[in-house]
Amino acid sequence: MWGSLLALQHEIEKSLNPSTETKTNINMNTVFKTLGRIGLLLTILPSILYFIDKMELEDVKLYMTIGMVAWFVGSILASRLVPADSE
Amino acid sequence: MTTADPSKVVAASSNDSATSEYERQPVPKKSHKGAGKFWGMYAGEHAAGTEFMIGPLFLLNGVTLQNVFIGLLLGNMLAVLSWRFVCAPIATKARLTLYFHLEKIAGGGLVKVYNLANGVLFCFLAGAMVTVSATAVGIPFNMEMPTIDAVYPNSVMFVLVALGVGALIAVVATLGYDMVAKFANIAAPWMVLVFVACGLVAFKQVDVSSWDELNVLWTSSIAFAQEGKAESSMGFWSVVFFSWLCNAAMHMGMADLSVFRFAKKSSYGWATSAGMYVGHYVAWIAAAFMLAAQIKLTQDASPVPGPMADSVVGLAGIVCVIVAGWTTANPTIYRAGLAFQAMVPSISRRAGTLAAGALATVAGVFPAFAFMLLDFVGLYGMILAPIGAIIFFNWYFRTRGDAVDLHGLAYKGSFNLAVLLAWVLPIGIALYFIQVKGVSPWFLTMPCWLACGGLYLLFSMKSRRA
Repeated sequence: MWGSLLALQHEIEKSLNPSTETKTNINMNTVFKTLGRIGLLLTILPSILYFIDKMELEDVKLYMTIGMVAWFVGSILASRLVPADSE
Repeated sequence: MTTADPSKVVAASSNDSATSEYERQPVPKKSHKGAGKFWGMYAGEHAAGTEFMIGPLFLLNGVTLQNVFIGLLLGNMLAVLSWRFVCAPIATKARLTLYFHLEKIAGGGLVKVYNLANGVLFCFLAGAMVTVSATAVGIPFNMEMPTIDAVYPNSVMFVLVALGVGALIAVVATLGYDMVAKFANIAAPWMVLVFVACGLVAFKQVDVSSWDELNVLWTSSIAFAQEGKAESSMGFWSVVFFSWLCNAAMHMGMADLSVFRFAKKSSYGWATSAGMYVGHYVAWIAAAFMLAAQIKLTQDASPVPGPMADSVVGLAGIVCVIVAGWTTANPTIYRAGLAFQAMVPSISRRAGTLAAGALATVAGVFPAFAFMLLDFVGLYGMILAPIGAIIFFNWYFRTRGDAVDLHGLAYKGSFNLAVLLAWVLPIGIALYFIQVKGVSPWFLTMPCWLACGGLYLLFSMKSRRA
């Protein structure tokens, strides 16, 4: 499953990133991608820790909220999501 | 369960203008895609808003724990095999969209009828997603949630929230497709992990240490939900056939020809296992355990996605329900709008989308569409899948698997009566069995599919002689 998720993320990043990136953009993208991956870890790890009695439920909810923000901020900035009309 | 237009999904997932072309020609070799795209796309596409409803409905229908685990394992395997051996081989040889392929056999007029049927069914599916999203949006307003037996809305607040959510989705759909599709692709990996997290937390909350304890808890949850009756209206084969055929429109119905026409090899059909086992196995079971945990902790058997997700993972769960519902409903309404516009070319695409959005919004006000999702999804597959039989039987028995012959033998008119009769006759009989005899629609999908293919060959033989 993790392989499918990474393949999905890779495809999104590959398809959405422009080909004319400057070196600075590439560095920033690395930062944003890392932020996004940390967000994904914060989404799944707390529930695993809760499952093995290493974390309280309230903390799980808090870390998952932080993970959600990190994933969306990181992946949206990395992909430079811009509105585009399908027409 | 997936609802987005596959061709659009591929286009959106790649943001590659080339993939949105070739709608009226075979995809050339230079535009063929690697396997990674398909594995990623299917993993994300089947983590939709509907998964939050379907899992709990198994529990409410009294499906035993063993039947959930084994039935879903087998049913999803049959679905993967259908994609791999029915849909993908034709897609990678003909390399046409479903619509253009069908037009070659049935004529453009009948494609519009198929599109309209698709569009109307999509509107009601989007309506269920509006209901799902409304249950999450309503949490901060202390909205009274609908109960499982609710057909009509139970409060003015629910009506207002559902209308607001539906209107917003419809307006965004009229503005364009790309932004939502890109956002859906970005949200997909996160949504999958939230589903898994929900399952882990819920499983922990039910606090069992063995299979026997889990079984007892599951059975008592069913008994509580059914007010002491503990009756099963879905046996093992119901679970198998439902999970196999809930996406029948996509595999046996050949809608995913539009996706796999870009695949280098038909073996990429195995990529659908990512969607089936992540979305239709892990997510459904996780959602079912969310309801079991809710029953144990709060003695509430209402399978309302917003509060269920809130209780296990908090804000991330609420946002996941909204995003999953929205990203499912939005392309669905967009797609239905295109179908309406195809039927009435004088109206604009935006007007068509607004009409579809209005229909979905009105449907979303009635919780019954969401709470009867199993039957509706079964019906959706049963009505649309037989069209795939026309393509399958035509491909193997008339053109003998030759794409050149497909073009050579193309139907010259705009409305092939043989196809129409072969499609509607089995469906009409099946609808009788559903309405009068109470047969579940997922048991009738394959008989309809086979009958449709056979009748098509028979009728087209007669028409050729005539």
